[in-house]
Amino acid sequence: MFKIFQTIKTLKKLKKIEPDKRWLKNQRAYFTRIMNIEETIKAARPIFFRKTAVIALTVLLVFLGIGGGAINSAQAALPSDALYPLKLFTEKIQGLLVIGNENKIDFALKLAEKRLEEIEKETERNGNSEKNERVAFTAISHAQDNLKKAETLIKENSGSGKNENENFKQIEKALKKLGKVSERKNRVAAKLSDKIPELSSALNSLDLASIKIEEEANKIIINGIIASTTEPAVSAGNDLFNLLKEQAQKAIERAEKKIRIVEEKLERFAEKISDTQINGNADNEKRGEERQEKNQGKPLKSLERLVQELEDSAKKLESAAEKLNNAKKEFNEGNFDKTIKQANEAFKKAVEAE
Amino acid sequence: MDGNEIIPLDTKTQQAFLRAFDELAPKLYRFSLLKVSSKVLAEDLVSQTFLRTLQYLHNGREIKTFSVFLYQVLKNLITDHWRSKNRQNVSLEEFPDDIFADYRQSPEKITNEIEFKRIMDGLNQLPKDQQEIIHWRFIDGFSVKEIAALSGKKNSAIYVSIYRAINKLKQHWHV
Repeated sequence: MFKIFQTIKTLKKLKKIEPDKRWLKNQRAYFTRIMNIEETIKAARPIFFRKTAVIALTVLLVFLGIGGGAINSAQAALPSDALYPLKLFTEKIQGLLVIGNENKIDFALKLAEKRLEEIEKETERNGNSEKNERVAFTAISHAQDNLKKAETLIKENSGSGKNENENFKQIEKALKKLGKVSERKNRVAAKLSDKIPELSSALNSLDLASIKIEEEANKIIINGIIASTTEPAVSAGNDLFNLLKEQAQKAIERAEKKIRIVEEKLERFAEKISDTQINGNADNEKRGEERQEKNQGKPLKSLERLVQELEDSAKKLESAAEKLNNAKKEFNEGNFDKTIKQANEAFKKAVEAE
Repeated sequence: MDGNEIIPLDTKTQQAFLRAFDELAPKLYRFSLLKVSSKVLAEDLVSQTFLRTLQYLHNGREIKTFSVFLYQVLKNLITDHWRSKNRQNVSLEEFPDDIFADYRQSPEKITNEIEFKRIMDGLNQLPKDQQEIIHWRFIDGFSVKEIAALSGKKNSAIYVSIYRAINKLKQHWHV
């Protein structure tokens, strides 16, 4: 009897064979589309629209009523202004009124860009004030939240069963918007990185959040390309292919830039360490034996730690450069999805080194 | 049907079809893969199975048990495939070298190729109807009653087939 169970157990090992999840998802989306389920769902939404209309009307009345003036003034408020919380609140309300995933993604990215714009404006207004530092960190944190929201919405979008053409348009729009956010981030970095060195790690977190969005978008693009080979969406397939290529190029550029920046930083760091070493030794020579004995452990220990840190960072940067080279090879071979993966890993390694 | 044509169905039928897809597509894929030994072909056959089923429903016909209908369509497609290729069921030795890669699509993969080969060797020495019954019972997890419907045999015949098949496998595997 025991042997029978063992036989059955052996057979059940074949249960581990599973279809490719991406294929399964695409197939489901395909059948959903040809059954025209999308339209059926849209047709069954009158209650939702009525509810949205009520909210819209209420907010409109608020705008026209007593609070209208204050809300309008708040729109121009900067993070250090008293009306700024009101501005954030009205944005939340506006966010509730946005209909459709595509518009929601667009709105979240728009807010991320707005937060970065506020940092620029605040810096212009306050000059080199200490206030800038606090404002910048808060605004970056808000921008990061918005990017996370956009990422979640894109994830939801990928499971919505929409066809490739619709998804393609949405993703293309979202990536363009994300490009604007990155441009704005680069401007903030150029203006403030020297003044507030700690800001670079906060800005890195924005880059990593952007990469996550791109990764989600790329999954949709790749799915679209795969689906377009079996279904008549060839024109969309070509566009998707170009979009993926563009994304791969961007990923390489971003990683290259980051590696260059980190390289420069490490060089400066190495110079500082060697200066400390030379000055430290000269100092020790000048000082008497007694003083040298007293301080012997401390500066050397701290220097050792710094050298160790430098070595660790250099190793990470080396690994980043290696990944970047792999990415370039993959790009030349036309493997754009692998290019993006390698380039993003290179970027992440460079951030770790930083 | 060109594959892109809209096939309107009533909501109830749509839901039943999608439920059947969610539940049975992975099982049909596994069944198909073990028969045709190619991932791409197995995917294509399963896709065709659902497409034909949808066309059948579109023609106003009713499907009482989706599992029975879908497996029947898939089996016909597999038979057509072998006929069109003018080929017989291949033994495991004739499988292409990269076939094992197709079985390793899932994260919980069959890591040991020798183990897999041993299982397939055992299954292949069973008569075709016993192979299917064993597959439905222990790999897909269908009940005897469901298998009776799938194979068009009586419950008692299914019990006998399972008993005989297991004994043969036991001997083959020296369990």
